[in-house]
Amino acid sequence: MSFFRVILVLICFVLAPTVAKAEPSLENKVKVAYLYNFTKFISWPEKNTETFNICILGNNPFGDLLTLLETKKAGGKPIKLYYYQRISEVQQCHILYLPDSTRPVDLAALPEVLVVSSLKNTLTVSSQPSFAEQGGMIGFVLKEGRVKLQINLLVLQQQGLSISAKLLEVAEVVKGVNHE
Amino acid sequence: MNSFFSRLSIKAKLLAILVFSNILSLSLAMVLLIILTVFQVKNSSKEDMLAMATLLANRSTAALSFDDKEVAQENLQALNDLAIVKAACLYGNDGQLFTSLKAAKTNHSLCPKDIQGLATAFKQLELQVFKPVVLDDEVIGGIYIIADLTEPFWQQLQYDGIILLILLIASVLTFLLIAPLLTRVSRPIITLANTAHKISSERDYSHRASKQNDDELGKLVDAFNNMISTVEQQNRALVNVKNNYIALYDNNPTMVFHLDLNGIILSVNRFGARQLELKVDQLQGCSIFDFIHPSDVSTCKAMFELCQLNPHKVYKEEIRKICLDGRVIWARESARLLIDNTGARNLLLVCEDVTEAKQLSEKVAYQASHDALTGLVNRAEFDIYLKNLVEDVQQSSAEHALCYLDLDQFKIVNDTCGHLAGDELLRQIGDVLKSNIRQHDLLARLGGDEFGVLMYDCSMQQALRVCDKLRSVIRDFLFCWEDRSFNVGVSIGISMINKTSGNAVELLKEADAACYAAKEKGRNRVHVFTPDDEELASRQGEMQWVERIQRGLDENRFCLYGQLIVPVDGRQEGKHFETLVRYQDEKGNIIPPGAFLPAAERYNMAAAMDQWVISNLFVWLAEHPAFLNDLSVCSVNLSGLSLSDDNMLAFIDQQFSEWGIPTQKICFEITETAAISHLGNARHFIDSLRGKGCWFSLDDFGSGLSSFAYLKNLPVDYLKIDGLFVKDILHDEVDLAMVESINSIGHVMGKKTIAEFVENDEIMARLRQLGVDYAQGYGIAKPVPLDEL
Repeated sequence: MSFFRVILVLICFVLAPTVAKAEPSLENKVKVAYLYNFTKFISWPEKNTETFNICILGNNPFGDLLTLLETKKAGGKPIKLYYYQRISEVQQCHILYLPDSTRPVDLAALPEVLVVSSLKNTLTVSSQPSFAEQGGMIGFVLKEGRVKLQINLLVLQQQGLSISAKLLEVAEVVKGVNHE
Repeated sequence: MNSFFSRLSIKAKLLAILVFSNILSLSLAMVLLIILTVFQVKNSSKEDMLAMATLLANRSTAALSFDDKEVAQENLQALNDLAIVKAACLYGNDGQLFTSLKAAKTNHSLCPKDIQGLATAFKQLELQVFKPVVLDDEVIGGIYIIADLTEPFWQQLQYDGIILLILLIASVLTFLLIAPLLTRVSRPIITLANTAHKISSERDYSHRASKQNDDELGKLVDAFNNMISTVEQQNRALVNVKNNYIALYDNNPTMVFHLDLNGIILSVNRFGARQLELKVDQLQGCSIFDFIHPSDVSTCKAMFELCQLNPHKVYKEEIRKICLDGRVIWARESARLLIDNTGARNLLLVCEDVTEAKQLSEKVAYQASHDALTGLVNRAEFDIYLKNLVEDVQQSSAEHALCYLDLDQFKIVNDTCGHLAGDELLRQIGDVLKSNIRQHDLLARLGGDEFGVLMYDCSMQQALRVCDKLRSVIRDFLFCWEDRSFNVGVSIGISMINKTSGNAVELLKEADAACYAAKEKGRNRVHVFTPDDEELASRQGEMQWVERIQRGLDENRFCLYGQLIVPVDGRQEGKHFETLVRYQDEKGNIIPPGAFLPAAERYNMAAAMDQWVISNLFVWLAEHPAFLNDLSVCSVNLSGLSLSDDNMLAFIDQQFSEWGIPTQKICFEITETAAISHLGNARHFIDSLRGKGCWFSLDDFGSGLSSFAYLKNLPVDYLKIDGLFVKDILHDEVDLAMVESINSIGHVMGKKTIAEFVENDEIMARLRQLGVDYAQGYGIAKPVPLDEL
């Protein structure tokens, strides 16, 4: 609880000037909803899994909010939540949420990481700043107190994912730093 | 409206139908177009808006999913190009308004606050479209568009208006093109109608409608013309038949009247009108009774009433009709009641002119009841009148007189001048008698020279007076025939008719008998029958005498009388007398010859009587030789028939020789009339007997007044001057001159003269003055039986 309280305080500090009224729980709620919404605008290549796996790497920032997702289906499969502490543990995830409170992802190592087979065909989402620019696929960014998306289309396409144009309309498409 | 339409001409009707149908179709098109327009505008708008909403809903899924109002707003901006869109609203998953598009004109948003109750609907000219935003079968929001359809409606209506205007122009053009065609349809009908009207108004069936084309109207015209020619033919046939019937009706030689029940003439045929000397139209409305003889009106009315009582019976009457010029015609009328279809009751009167037949039958009846010669009533009719009078008198106290007239000297005229003269005399006597009796008295010729008079309401005194007048008038009447003239006398018997008198036959017998009595008394007299007159009562009519004479001859009932004839100058001579005959009836009554001699002469018994007289006289003379010796001359009457009897001379000779009577003592008296009418025989007769010594005397000389010329040819010894002249010799100078002249002529011719009817000494004295040789009469000696001479 104290940990949540810390995050909340941090967020309040960070977002205080713009998102005065934004509550961390509301933000998380929105992000959870967005996570689910991604399943509708993005299509994955067929994976040999029985479930649609949403994986949380590191600390779970959403708490119990995520469990709601397990009652729903995506791509005709029931959603299953997986929690991982290390990236090497990650297997067969459709969506991989990378924690934002951890230290920043090793951006140099990441593309390599990302190309490991374990992360293949996996949508990487994170609230880390400039996540998409640094090789992530979709990054949550706060703009004017609202949760906005940044999408690295190139990465998405490299990973064999296709994305709906509609989603692109509401998102900000960014380009990877190293891949210019 | 309906009647207004029906008054229109056919052309106007066709025009009205055309105009009305155009207006109707245009109106219908307009209404349909508007409905279609509304429907189409609504539908297409709805579809467009729904498509738009679907598109927007689809486009907005991401914006809604990721709460991106800017994107959502951008999406909605697309609607701004559509002018009809008033507002577009996008609702989020929570049902609250997510974002909206404001129409340019309005400042405030028309969008409801939340999604509750929104649906696709039309609200007047406003279209509201709602479409839920669905993502993966999940409703994540909704889109709501409000569109104002006024503008598209208005545009569409303008478009419709243009279409209607084009249609209208097309209709007007069509109408202008078609109107002349209407005339082509209506003109034949109008022509046909005009022809029909012309035919009906002029009643001239020779008109024909002209055929203009071969359609139904052409057939109609053909049929019409056929019909009219049929009508014309039939009309002509009917007119012919009608004319025939009218000709039959008008020329039917009977009067045909159509009358109402009051006798007012409704119609009459031309022949009938012509009969009445009037025109048909003048007669119409007149009363039939104006043309019926007043005395027949009641008969006619009675007949009409009978007709009304018995509708099926025909009644007939013979009635006199009076024409305009006053001519009376006899008509046999047949009448019956006519009841026509409407129940009106009239009379049909058919009158046949039977005037000629009636006149003929009247003539026959007249001839049957009148004497052809004198025009007077005849015996049969007189009997009827008498019988009626006798019957009538039984019920009243009236008294009438029956007079029987017998002409005294008619025979002379008839025998000397022929029947023509006799007929003329009778005619004239009839006229004389008629002019001397009262108008209402009945004069009849009863036969021969006998007349009868019925004097109505006449006493015996009056009858006597009238009869005496008649007697004197006839006595004074001078009948002239060729160069001769005659006087006639009349003996009149009167029988009074009253309650006590017998029947008609008896009355006639009585009058007849009275007439004979008058004759017997010396002719030219009037005798009244009285029931207690025994002498007259024994007398009977001539017919009875035929049988009595016969019996008298057989049974010797006749007896001989003699009347002395004496010389006027008083010289003494032998006995000179005239033999007379009397009838002695069963009761011993002596009846003078006036009663039976006419009958004897008429029924051819005179010769037999003469023979009886001669033979009986000769027997008597033979039985009385002393008397015969003393006898100077004895005269015997011979009738005219005896003169012409071939056996008479032989009989007389035989009698002379049988009874030895000296012929010079017998003088035969023949009447002037008999001698003249049998002149040839008479001469022979006279010559024959005179040659044997007999004498001849001409009896009743002067009565015929034809004598002087014949006297030369009649070698007689004596002239007996007719007593008619003699008896009035004292008072009548004509008679005196007559007697004087006969006497002197007789003397000049060497004949002796004998005056008859010498009734007194004064006459005798006068005769003596005149120088007449002998005299005979009551004043000298009455007839007595021979034995008493």
